[in-house]
Amino acid sequence: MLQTITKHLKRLRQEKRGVSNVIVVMLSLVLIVVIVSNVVLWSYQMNQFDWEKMQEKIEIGDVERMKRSWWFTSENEYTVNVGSHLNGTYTDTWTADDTYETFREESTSLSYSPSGYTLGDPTKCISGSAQDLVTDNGAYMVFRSYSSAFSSQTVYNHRESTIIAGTSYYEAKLNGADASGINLDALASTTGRKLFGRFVYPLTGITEIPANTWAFYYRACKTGPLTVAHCDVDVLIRKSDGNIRTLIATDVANSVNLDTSWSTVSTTYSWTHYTIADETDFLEVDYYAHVTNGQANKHVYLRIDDSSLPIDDQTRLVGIMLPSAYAVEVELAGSSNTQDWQSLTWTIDSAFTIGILNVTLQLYNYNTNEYPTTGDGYISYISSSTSNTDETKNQTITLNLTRFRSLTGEWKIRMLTVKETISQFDLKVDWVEFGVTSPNSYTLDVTGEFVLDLSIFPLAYVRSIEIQILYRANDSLENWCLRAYNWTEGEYSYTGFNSTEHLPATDFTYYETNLTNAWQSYVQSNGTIRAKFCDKEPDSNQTTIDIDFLGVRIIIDGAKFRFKNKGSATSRIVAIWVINATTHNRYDANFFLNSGEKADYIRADIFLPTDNFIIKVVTERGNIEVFRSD
Amino acid sequence: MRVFRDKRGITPVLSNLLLTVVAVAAMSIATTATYVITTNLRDNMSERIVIEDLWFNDSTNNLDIYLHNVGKVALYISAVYINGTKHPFVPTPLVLEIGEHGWLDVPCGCVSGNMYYVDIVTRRGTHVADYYKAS
Repeated sequence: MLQTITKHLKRLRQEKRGVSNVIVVMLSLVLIVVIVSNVVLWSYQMNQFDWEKMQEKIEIGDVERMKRSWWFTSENEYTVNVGSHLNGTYTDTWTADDTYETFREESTSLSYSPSGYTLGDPTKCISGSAQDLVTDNGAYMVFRSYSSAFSSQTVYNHRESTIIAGTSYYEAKLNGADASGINLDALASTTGRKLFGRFVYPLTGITEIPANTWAFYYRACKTGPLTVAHCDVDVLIRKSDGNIRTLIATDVANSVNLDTSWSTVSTTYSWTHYTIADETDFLEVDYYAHVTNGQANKHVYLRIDDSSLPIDDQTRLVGIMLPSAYAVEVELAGSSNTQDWQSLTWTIDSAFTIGILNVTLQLYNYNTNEYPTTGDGYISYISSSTSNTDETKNQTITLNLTRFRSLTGEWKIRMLTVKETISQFDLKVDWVEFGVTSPNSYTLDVTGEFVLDLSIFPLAYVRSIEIQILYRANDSLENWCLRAYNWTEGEYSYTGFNSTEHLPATDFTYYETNLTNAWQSYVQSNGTIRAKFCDKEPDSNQTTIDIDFLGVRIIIDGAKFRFKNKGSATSRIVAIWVINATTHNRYDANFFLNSGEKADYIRADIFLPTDNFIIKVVTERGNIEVFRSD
Repeated sequence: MRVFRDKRGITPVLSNLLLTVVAVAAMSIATTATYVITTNLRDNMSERIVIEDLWFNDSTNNLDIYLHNVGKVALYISAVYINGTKHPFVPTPLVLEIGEHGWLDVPCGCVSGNMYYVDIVTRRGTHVADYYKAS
């Protein structure tokens, strides 16, 4: 085999055309070209990189401490909560110049809410508090009505049953028989009382059952001519846990002896007054067949719930005194100021759990020491036919207003509702307001929203916040104040401000307040600050306010760098060094500067030393520019 | 069996096959060598490192050097020479990927006011060197 290879190689060497040699040379050339081109290409790229680096020229013009940001002004028109806007726009308050925005005080209503309540006995408050009456927000204070009138009513025995603590009882209802009827059977083989059935009536919403003569009607019969029997009852109060609360009577309301044919026999029972101990109790009447002469295999029957019978023939209890009307009565009390009033508006927003009620609302008259029954301080209406419908009723009074408050400013409102119904209902009060306007109550309340640029001034480096206003007033005797919305408390406040009020002049003057260490409560996480400008107290003068400038700025301890790119290419600053005798601090940066551009770079997180220092700026290409503070 | 007995038929095939294997192996070696050579050359050319800061730290008696890899390839600091004398440093090894930067601490016992020639050498042989006066 080796001989053959040698022969092939010799033949290759002797081959005149040398094809293989050419191929080998070509392949070698390809490899050389690849090596050379790769090296040349990379050499070119790195040379370009070095050339660009040499061309880069960043200059640090100045480095200074930055104690405060620029002013952030309102980005939208101010909201006038109280007062009126006369002229100008919010853009006029961006800079302190000759253009300004003008507002004027207006008379305003002061609103008061109830601080307590008194229930008309036996109305019950079942949920809510006076705090729920402050706003019309669907959070209710709920009062439950009581039975205010009673009438003689009839309770019919039905075949339907209800379960009390695991035991089944027949139901007694106010409506007549509504079924095909059943016979309750008692065996008359022996003498004695034989139970037909126990019937219960719920006492929900009933406070008492007044005394009255009850009439029991038994639709009954017997079998066997020798059987002697009559009907009677036991009466008791059963608790919802199945136990007996009170045994009122046994073996009462005895009927005449029964016949072998069906007949309706009646008798009476004298019911004495009973006060309901618990509304979850039941009135229970147990019906018995009382056999006085037994006969084997004979029976006594009581027929109930047979709608085919005339009403007068049905088994029933007549004369029970049950509620025929329900009422709710509540008195809401509050306090107000004792200034002179121009008008008084009292407002009540409420709903009822049933429809069509006669509702009376009354505002107490302290002159006559009674609730009015007509005119001022009296509202009467019929509630909506739809249950649980909120209805707002108000009345504005302009004459002799002091009669509706006490000498110390107290007031009270009574709500009274009565309805002839057998159903208990609830009064749901959502909002009660006692609003007054005063001739001495001119006031102005203007709010604006300011958004801080947290990308430049992160909250972590904010030391405090300042609010400044340049304004003038035509009444220089009234104090004005700046407030901010406290996001924690959910209200405007000046707690923690270093200045809480300012006396203006008829010329433009600055009023500035610092939020000190409390600033965090007033700045939302996205940098939003809501500032309010308002008078300290309402007064009798209608003041006009001109606002030339209103802004918010951040107090920081940062640095401002002034850079200039003198090179021919865009530069990117990637690091800033702050060096003094004791520290060498490096801060990452990402700041682009176009060729020929001059720009300020602000860093809230870079603290400049108080002694001499050196600033080094490092670019992405690796150039370093140095600035000395001295 | 006839095929195995015919020596004239097998020998040319085997010899051609062997020649092909030799040629392919030779080309593979040549290509690999080309790749290695060009990669090394390219990496050597791509190394760029700057000393952002050099601090004769009195409190630690160290020479703290802040390096920034501004080149196009990761680099490894292999040695630090101060006035021609090799000094240990931490962290060892200091590896800086593209765009990375970090401190290099060199215990040196430098004397304030003296001049020092600091030479930082990468594994590929790049030198960054300059004179610094201890403050």
